[in-house]
Order: sequence, then structure tokens, then C-alpha cells
Amino acid sequence: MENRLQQKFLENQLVDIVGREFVLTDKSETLFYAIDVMWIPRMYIDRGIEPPLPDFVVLPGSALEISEIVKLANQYRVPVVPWGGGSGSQGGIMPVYGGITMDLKRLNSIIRIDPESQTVIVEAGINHYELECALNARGYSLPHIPASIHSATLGGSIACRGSGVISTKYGKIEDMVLQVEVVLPNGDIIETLPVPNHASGPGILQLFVGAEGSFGIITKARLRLEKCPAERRFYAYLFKDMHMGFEMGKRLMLDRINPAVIRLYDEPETIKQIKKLLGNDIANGCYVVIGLDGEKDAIDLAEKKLFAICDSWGGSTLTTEHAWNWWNKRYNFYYPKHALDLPAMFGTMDTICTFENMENLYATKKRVLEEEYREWDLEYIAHMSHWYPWGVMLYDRFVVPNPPRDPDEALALHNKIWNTAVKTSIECGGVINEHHGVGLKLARFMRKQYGPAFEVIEGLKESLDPNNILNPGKMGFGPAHR
Amino acid sequence: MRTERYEQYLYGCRFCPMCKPASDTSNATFLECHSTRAHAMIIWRVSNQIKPYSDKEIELLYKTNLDSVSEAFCVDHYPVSEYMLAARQDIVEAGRVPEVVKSVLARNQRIDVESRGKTTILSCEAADFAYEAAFERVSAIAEKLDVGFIQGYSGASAHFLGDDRKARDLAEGLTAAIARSGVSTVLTDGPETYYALTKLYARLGVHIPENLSVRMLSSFAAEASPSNVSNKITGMKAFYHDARACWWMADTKPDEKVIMPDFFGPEKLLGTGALYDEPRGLLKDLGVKLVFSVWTRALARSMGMDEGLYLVHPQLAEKLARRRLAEIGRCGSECLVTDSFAAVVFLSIIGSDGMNVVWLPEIL
Repeated sequence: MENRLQQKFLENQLVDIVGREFVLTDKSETLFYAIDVMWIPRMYIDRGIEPPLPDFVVLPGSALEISEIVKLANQYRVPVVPWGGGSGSQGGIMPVYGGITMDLKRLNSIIRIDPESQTVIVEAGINHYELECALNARGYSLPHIPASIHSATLGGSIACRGSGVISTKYGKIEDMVLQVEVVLPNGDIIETLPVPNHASGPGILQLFVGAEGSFGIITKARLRLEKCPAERRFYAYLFKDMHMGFEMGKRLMLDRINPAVIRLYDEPETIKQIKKLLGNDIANGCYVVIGLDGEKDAIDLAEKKLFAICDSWGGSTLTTEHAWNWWNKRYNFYYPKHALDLPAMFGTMDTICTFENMENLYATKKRVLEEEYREWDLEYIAHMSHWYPWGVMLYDRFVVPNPPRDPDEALALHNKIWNTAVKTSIECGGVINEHHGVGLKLARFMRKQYGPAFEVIEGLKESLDPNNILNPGKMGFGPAHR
Repeated sequence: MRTERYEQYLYGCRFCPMCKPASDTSNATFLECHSTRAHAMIIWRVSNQIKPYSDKEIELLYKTNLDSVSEAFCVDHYPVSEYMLAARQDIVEAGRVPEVVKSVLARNQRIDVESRGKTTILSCEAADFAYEAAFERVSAIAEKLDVGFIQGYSGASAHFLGDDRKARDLAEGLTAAIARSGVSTVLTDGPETYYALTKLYARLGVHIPENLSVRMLSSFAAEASPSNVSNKITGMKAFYHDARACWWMADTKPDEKVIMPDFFGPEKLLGTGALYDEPRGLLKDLGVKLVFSVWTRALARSMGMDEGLYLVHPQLAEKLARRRLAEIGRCGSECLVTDSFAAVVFLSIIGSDGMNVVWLPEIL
């Protein structure tokens, strides 16, 4: 905040709401709320540059406290940025205009498990791992098992339309959420209808799902649960190229074999990541892991069809160990030994489209990016990991091993690569994101992605948040109105 | 700087969120700046001369234990507690220790004590509490077992707070007292004292008297009074709480399977070692039904008093303890049993929220 007196007034009022221990202002404490997994703020930290910091970090303990804080923020025209686990990759939590970063982790209670409806009511700040442990202990699972399970919060997943590793069978978080409680930008606390499937007008539930805190702050949700599967089986194959693997995956989906997992890695990623991490002796080809879960009889039946489809597309069977290693080590990808990190520049582009467009999208993007950024030795690796009966998501990444040392030049190259990638994706019929969200990183592409339809989103934003205090600078929206 | 030797680990941890569920302090306070990742980022930036420590950052590095639960939870077991220690040592060397730490270190003084008999209980874990009732409890056990009793500072707290010079001085004082007393067997009042004598002193270059046998008090008590066993918790569901010091003595570290949310055992995948296995064996012999959660053995969350935390930030330590008690209660446990005298004393001071807390040597 520019005005120190106003800042002190606001600080005192925030302390009155949540207590001294839950208001942070010292840079040594607030710095950690300025970064997520996005490359730019991390690059800033590594190069000794301070990323944009919040003026305040506040940890409310209830929806009522959130409501009071939001009302205050409106009064002072100060941005409010919701914060969950800091595991996002899009800079969605970056306080680009300062203001209040609102950490929701104190809202971490499991309020009620309803065994009859097989649902859970839970506060939004709960860590996914803690939630899943508690549910598994009772024989249930929230089948949203994100790679970021150890750090992400439920609210973050809902706000960004997250996907988990078994989404191919169970859907994304937006398919699991039945109802949410939201604090609106004016401080009102509302609940959406008790069920998502109805004909009582438009479903406002999905207005808040994926809005990244721009339309309201999700404080509580009711979600459907599954029983922990009686059995899981995994199968690993090697396909000679992406085309054969893709056709196999498409057939599994169109024939409704209902796998929980299909992960098809292109050859560069097979060699770079899979071979190294899983200790597999694979020299070339595309690694695929397929998972089935559920009751034994159902799996037996699906397995037969799966074998036939994989055979028909020329899949070479790998060992059970090759398959289970992926499942058992699925989180190891994200530990420092294996995760992408500086000094390299990297980005996960995460694009989704129909089957019809996917092969062209993958081939074009790979060619365009590798050609245009050859001088930077850009490496393109990809896998297809979230499948639908109509299409699939391409989890494609670029890596520039030696980006410019100068931070401004590095940022310019980073954004230029993204410009190329997104333009190519959209031209090939892709939607620029399947489960990471928009955040700061993709905000500038929203208008292009949506075309005139973006006015609908803008209209909603103006109506709900006339002062634009909630997470400004994200989703294609500007700064808070002074 | 001592932290430089941990460069690759600090670099890896500075943005890594994977140990969040294990990050002891931040899970109690909810604050990101108390997370293991934050600690790593602070140290890494200083170690790489991006900036010097601010006073607040130094405070943050002392507003925690040594984050060894995170180290245990990490599939690659990056040496988190070692770089935390190294950072504190650098801070001590630079003369930038916070006042509260300074006063704790000043309180830690050599105590000129002697013991009667060849076997003595060495009680260091409660020395810092200056709590008369603790002294009486150890005295009572000494009397029951007909052994001597020495109380003093082991130097472990000073070491954990980064002052190895002080730790060495205390270690030398204590070993001299033991030697003067002609003691041949020392019975330690908990894992931290046991760790000090059996591992830390060697690290500090302090030799314990030749042929001195060091044993856990509970192990000796079980052997010495087999016919006098109390059955007050027989048949009860008990949770055995491991002090963080056991981590430093472990034979095996947790298997990578334990990070899965559906991990329900076997318990030994959470780490093995005599300090984990023997007390559980004693409890099983007593007919106690042991319950556990993933947060046990090497992943045992702190009861707040570990690694000097309660000395410098008692209210934060209490927060950790309350969280731990609630977690143990949720496991369906009717009582909490531990070898850690520090934990027992701390809980008797702050209250145990209705949990029946049992110091293992007292029921053997």
C-alpha cells in the first residue's frame, strides 16, 4: 500500500478480526506467499530479486472472518489473493498488486462424512493428503489424487479445476464437487444448491469452480466419495511411436473400457524421465502405463478387452514391475532429484482438445517450438494423461537448459515461448489449459482463447466484484479499482 | 559458512513442497514461514550470499525444531536437520544469536555432581525445566532400583541450538563427573540423553570414560524388576511416542511407501532402531495393545520439547504438544507411553488435555 497511515489502520483492523499471530507484515515472513511453482517468481528468488509481495498475509479461521476481511478490503480498495498450498504452476497466488494474501489453511476441518450418500463436507483449506488419509482410514477416497497431494489444498484444486492421476475414470474435481460455500466479493456468504444436477436454473456452482478466487472465496465444499477400490492392476506397454499409443488410448476410451489411468509418454520423456526414475531398461519407444481398479470381476472383463486393444495397436508388453513402479513412485517425479528446476527454464503447457485434433496439435507444437527456439536448445517433452471419451489432455513441457542470465531477458524469452505455444495450441483447436488453471501466466491469453465470449466472464466479474478486489491481475482481469 | 556443504540439498529443498504434511512447526502454526521449505530458502539465500540473515529470519530458524520429520518424510532423506544445525552454528559463530537463545545457553552450566554406586541414572532431559517434581520422580526410581542419580546438562540442547563450544564444555563436565564417581553403568532418562552420550559426544570429540556402559533406563528397569512389573496399563490401547532424538539413532529410515495416503503399515517401514523397537517390545510384554498412525517412529511429530524448542519458544512448543496429543487421541489411544522424560515433564507442566501420560520406566 502506498499510504503508510492507511496501511497501519488496515493492519490494526485485520488484527482485530483474526488476532495478532495471524497477521504477517514482515518481508521475511511474507516472501513465501509470493511464489508458487511458476518459473518467473522462482527465477526472481534465485537471482536475488524480490517478487511482488503482499502487504499483509492474513489467516482467517472462519467464513465469517473472511467476510469481514473482504468487506474491509472493499472499503480500502485493497486486493485480496486467496492462498491454499502454493502448489499451483500459474502464478495464480502472486500478489501482483500487493494487498492482502489470505491463507486459508486454518479452515481445515472435515465437517461430516455421510456414508449413506457417500459424500463429505469439508473446509476448503484442508491439505489433500490429510483429507485422503482420513478418508482412506474409513474406507473411502476422494478420487481426486493430484500429483501435488502433499501440498495442495482442496480449495486450490476447486478454484483451479484440478485433475488427479485417476481422473480418466473418476473425473476432475469439478465432477466431484456437489456444493460450495463461498464468500462473495461484497462479503456475503452464500451456498450453492445442495446438489449439482438439477433444473432450477443455471448452475451457479460451476461459476466458482475454476474462477481462481476471482468471483468469490470458496470456504467449504461437499464432494462425492468413492469406496477405496477392492483391487488395482497396472499394465505397462511400449509402443513404437506416439501415433500407435494414441490410437490405443483413444480406443480404450471410445470402447468404454473405463481405465483409471492411461499415461502415454512420448519417446523423449520416456528416455528422459521414465527410464531414469523407474529404473526401466527402455532404449526407445513410447512408454504407456494403464491402470484398472474396482471389483475383481469387472477388472477381469476390462483386462481382456484392454489386452486385445493393446495387441491390435502393436504394444509390446513390459513387466508388471514396469507398471507398478510407475504407480508406486508416482510422487517421486516431483522431488528435487527429478523435478524440473532452475537454472533451466521450464513450463508445463497442459493443453486439451478432441481426439480429432490431438495428433496434429502434438506434432505441430513440438515442431514449432523446437524449430523457433533451436538457438536455445529448447527441448519439448510430453505425455497424454487425462483422457475423456472425446479427447485427451497433452501434458507437454518445454525446457531451455541455459536461459539468459539477465532476469528481464529471461522473462522476455519465457513469455515469448509461451506466446508461441499458446498461439499454436489455439490454432490447432486446443484449449490452453486442462487442470493447472490460468493464473498470471495465461491471463493475457484469455481474451484470445474465448473470443467475444470473454465478455460474459467480464460481465460476471464486474457484477460480482465491482471494485475488482479479488485476485486482480489474473484470469484476464486488471488491477483493483481505486 | 557451514551451510555451503549442503548446497545441493538446500537448492533442492528451497522450493520443494513435498514434505508439507511433515513440516512440524508450520502444521502447528499454519504459517508458511515456519515450513521446512521456507527454512531452506532462507538458508540457501544466505549461503549463496544473495543476502545476509535478517533478524526475523534468524528468529524463524529458531522458531522450530530441526525439521527432522521432514527429513524422514522425504523419499531421498535430504539432510534437513543437518543443514538446520549448520545454519544455527553459523549464526552462533557470527554472534547473532537471539537474546532468548543466549539466555538459555547462559543457563546451561556445568554441574559439579557425583553419584553413589557403580550404576547411576543420568537425568539430563529435565535439567532445563528446573521443575522440582521431575527431580522427585527420578529420585523415586533411583531409590526403587537402588542406583545412584546424577542430574545435569548433557549439552544436547546447546548443540541443537547451534553452540557446539558450549555443548562440548558441558559434555566434558558431565563425563568428568561420571569418571570421578567411578560409575560403570549410566542409565539415561530418555532418548535425548542417550543420544548425547552414545553419539553426540563422539561428534563433539568428547570421550566418555572407557568401559562405561550406557543404557536406557527403561531397559534396565525392565530387567531389574521383572517380578515387580506394574500392570496398570495392561490391556489398554496405548500409543508409544518417540522423541525426535530417536531419529538420530535410527538404523533404517522410512521407506518411500510411507508417503502414500493409503499407507497403514507395517509399522517398521517407518524406521527401525533399538530406541524404536525395544520399548515397544517391553509394552507388548506387558500386554499393552499398541496403536499407531503414520506419524510414529521416524515420523513421530514433536511433543514440542525436542531439540531445545521449548527452551526458546515455550508457547510454540505447547502448540506442537497440543497438536500431538490430539493426534494421538484420534488414534483411539487410551494412554500415551514414552521413554522421553522431557516429554513427560513438559506435559506435566502444560497439562496433557486429559490424556493419560505414562513414563515407561515408571511402570516397569
